[in-house]
Amino acid sequence: MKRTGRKKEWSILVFCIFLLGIFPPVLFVFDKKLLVAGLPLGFLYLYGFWAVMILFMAIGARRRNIPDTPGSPAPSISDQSITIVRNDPRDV
Amino acid sequence: MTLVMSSGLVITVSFLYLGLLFAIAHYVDTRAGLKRILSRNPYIYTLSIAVFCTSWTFYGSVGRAATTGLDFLPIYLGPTLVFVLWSFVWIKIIRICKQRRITSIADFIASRYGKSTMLGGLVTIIAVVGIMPYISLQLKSIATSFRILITSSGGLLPTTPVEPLFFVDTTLVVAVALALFAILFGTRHIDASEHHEGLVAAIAFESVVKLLAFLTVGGFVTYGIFNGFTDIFQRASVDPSLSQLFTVSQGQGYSLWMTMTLLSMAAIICLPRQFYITAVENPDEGYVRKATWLFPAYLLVINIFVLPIAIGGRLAFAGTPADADMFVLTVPLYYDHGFIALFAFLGGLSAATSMVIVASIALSTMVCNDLVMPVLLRWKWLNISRNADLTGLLLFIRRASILLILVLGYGYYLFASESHSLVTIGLVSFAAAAQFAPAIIGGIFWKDANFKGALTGLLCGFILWVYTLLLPSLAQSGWLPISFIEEGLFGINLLKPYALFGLDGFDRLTHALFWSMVFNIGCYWIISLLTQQTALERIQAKLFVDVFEHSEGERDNSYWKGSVTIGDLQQLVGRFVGVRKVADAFDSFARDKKINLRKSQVVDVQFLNFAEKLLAGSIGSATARVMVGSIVKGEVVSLDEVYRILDETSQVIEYSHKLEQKSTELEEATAQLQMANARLKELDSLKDDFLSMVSHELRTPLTSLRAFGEILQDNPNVSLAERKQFLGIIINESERLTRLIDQLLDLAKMEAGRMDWSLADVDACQVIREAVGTLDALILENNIKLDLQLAPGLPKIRADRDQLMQVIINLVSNAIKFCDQDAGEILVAAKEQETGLLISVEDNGIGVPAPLKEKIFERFHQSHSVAQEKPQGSGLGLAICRQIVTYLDGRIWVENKTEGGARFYFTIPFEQDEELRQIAE
Repeated sequence: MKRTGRKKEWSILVFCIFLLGIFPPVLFVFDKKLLVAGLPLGFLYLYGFWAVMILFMAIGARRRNIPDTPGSPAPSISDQSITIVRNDPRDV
Repeated sequence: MTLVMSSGLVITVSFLYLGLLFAIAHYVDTRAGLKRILSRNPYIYTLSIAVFCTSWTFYGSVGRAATTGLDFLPIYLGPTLVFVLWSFVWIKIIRICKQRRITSIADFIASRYGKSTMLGGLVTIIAVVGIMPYISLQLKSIATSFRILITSSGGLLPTTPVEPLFFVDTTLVVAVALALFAILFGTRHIDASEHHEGLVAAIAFESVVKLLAFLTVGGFVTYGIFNGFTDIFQRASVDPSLSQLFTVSQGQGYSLWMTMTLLSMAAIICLPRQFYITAVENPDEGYVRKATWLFPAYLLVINIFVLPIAIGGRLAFAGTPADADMFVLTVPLYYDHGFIALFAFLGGLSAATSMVIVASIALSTMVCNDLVMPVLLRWKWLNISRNADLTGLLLFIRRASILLILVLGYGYYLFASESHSLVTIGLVSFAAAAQFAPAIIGGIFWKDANFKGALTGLLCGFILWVYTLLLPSLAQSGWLPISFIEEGLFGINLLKPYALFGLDGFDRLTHALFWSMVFNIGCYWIISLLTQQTALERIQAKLFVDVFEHSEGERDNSYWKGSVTIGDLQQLVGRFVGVRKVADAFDSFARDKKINLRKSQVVDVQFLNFAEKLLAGSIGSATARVMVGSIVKGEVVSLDEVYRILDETSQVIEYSHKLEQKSTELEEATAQLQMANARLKELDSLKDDFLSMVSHELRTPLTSLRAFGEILQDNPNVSLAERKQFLGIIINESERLTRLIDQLLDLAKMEAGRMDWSLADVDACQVIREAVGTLDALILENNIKLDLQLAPGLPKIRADRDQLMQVIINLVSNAIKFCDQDAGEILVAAKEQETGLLISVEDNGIGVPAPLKEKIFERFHQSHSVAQEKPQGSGLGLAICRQIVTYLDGRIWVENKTEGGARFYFTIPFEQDEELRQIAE
């Protein structure tokens, strides 16, 4: 299995969505005193959005197809980073 | 249950807790097995990063939420944003730290910009001054929470100032106690780049404690006092001042929100303690993968109850003045739950101590390695560089600087922080730490960023931070005249610290961040572009930016050149690291590389690098370089070697340029080949046509030859007249055959350049007449009227007589073939021109179609007349004409007459330059 560099693209995507979501004008939409299901809309939105983003990060960071065998150190992220950098130096 | 906390109880619990921490650290450090388990554990690593959550989070967030609502959140959203980009930022920084044995953020920046001691010193000063408010925040929270806890009882909160503990200020006691604890804790080892599993384990434990404590309080307030989240929010929604807290902006705009997000993004990388715990103490790069989402999850969980507690506090203390920063503690007290309050106090204590411990270790390493040691080593009279063992001195400096850092924090607390909320104080520190961001981020991605740019940028950013945030906070507390804020420095309005250069209308933080970053990034950028890097800077820049390319196998990227013996080197490193330790390290290095060590042996570059890194772990890279430089005899780096390193880059660039060029050339060649191929195909088909034509042409006379031959053979009694006629036909047909073959041979010869030319001065008119004469029979036969218009007195031309005649014969016989069938008219004309003779042959036939004007001169091209389907002629006549005329330096072409028919022209120059022709050949 070779890394394709898609994790980097994924993390850039998540970063952009995240930034978009917590800055105005999107934030402005949810920044109301309104109570939704008994919770303030802003509270609900910010924590919910944050949680979803963390979920996205976890998806992006999970190790694929690399068995984590005890005893022998699992292949670290480092090796893969090298591959990415080598493959596409402009990424960095 | 009413519980009055005695100060003795609280103090005992506090010390027991600190003792427990110490025990954990010690236990982990001394148990090799446990150490291995813990150092190979991403969860411990993640929890240690949670040192980010200090008293600020524990107490301050609630305070913030109780006054301005949801806008405490950016402090945690920012770090999450940075961890999204973990594979870009963190992995790179961690890899660099491991490779260069970086010990602190000052070391990192100094090392990147040419191992400059000056830059390291500046970063250290900025860090120490910048973190001052942050430390004071921790001291303030511990002291305040302590006072509240021991004086409150049964729902009553202290309203009068508490009497000093042990006859001195509580905060000072806290400061000293924390300093002692940090000293005991943090300076047990001398090599700062080694991993401190014990420390990390203790910090991780603290992260668990503070999380549990906060969740306990949160759970108690939300579910114990109120009836869950919805209940709290429901109650708050009826009060307009409380429902304000549901929002981020409260109608104030979002500039502060965005500023805080950016600040906390910078802080999670640039705060010395975060840098230290995330990058320097990282045991395995792979753990970042887990921490990248687990740490934000921790932040999310610890913040879940912030707003409920804040609202709970506001509801509880409605109408009475209460310090919102202490709601976590005072709300349980108010509802008379002393043990929960005590647990909350412990949580706050753990949050504060973890920050103070890690920050003071990180800062004291910086002060020692990047500020004090470089200065001491330069003072010749101290003669420190000859001192035998310096490990003791190093330890002393570190311990003293820990004390100094806490005293400074206490000083700031005394001068400035009493009246401010925790978050406000903390943000001042964030703004200071953010000044490192350009130098760090630029440093790992931009190779051309240089020392002068980084130094100027940092200096400008720092000065503006001091001017727009630090000094005004002192002025507000009365330590500087208040007119400084209101009227500006020297009464100049443009220099008002909260409205610098007339920039008004923003909150103070945004204002300060804007100006400091404009100057910081601006100077960094502009000066980096305007000035040159030194050789060492270039090397370091390359090592940092291209860190992944240098990772595999220790490449020889050394810059030392000279000679030093192993004995000397061992002695030098031993003075700072410890003699025994160095001997062991050298031995194991020698074993790894399979070399024998002799004291008098001259070390190679690899070994020198190893020693320098070892030293760097103890005293920082900049100082280590100076020290190694002091004993290495020879240049620091030869120009050749620098060029060799630099060349790699330029070679790659050059190579890719060449590749590009080659591929362009290749494309051109391909296009040419394609064209040639198409042309070849065309020629091939022409040749096929020609061959079929030639065989046909050859066949016709051959068939008649055979037919008449057979008639004569089979019928011996053919009459004489008939016999003569048949033989005449046979002779004619043979001649036709001979002509065809001659033409073919001539053309082949001419094209191959093997034609024998006999050049002489020729009278063109005579040649024309003779040529037409040979065709008389044909002309008469076709009933054609032929005119000759030969200008009188034409000069002779230099040509091959026979070939010239051939041209005219070909043209005229073509004209005969293509002229009008019934009333053919041909005109042959010759006249003098400036450069030579112009001869034309015209007919009144169908003319030449425009697209074929060039083609008809090519070999094997045959024109069809309208009347006959069969092509006339061999397709060689005009090609031969062109060959001859071109050889004679003339030109041949055809035009259509307006009244119908074609007119062929050709020119023959009067004098032909022999040389020119040879060249043309």
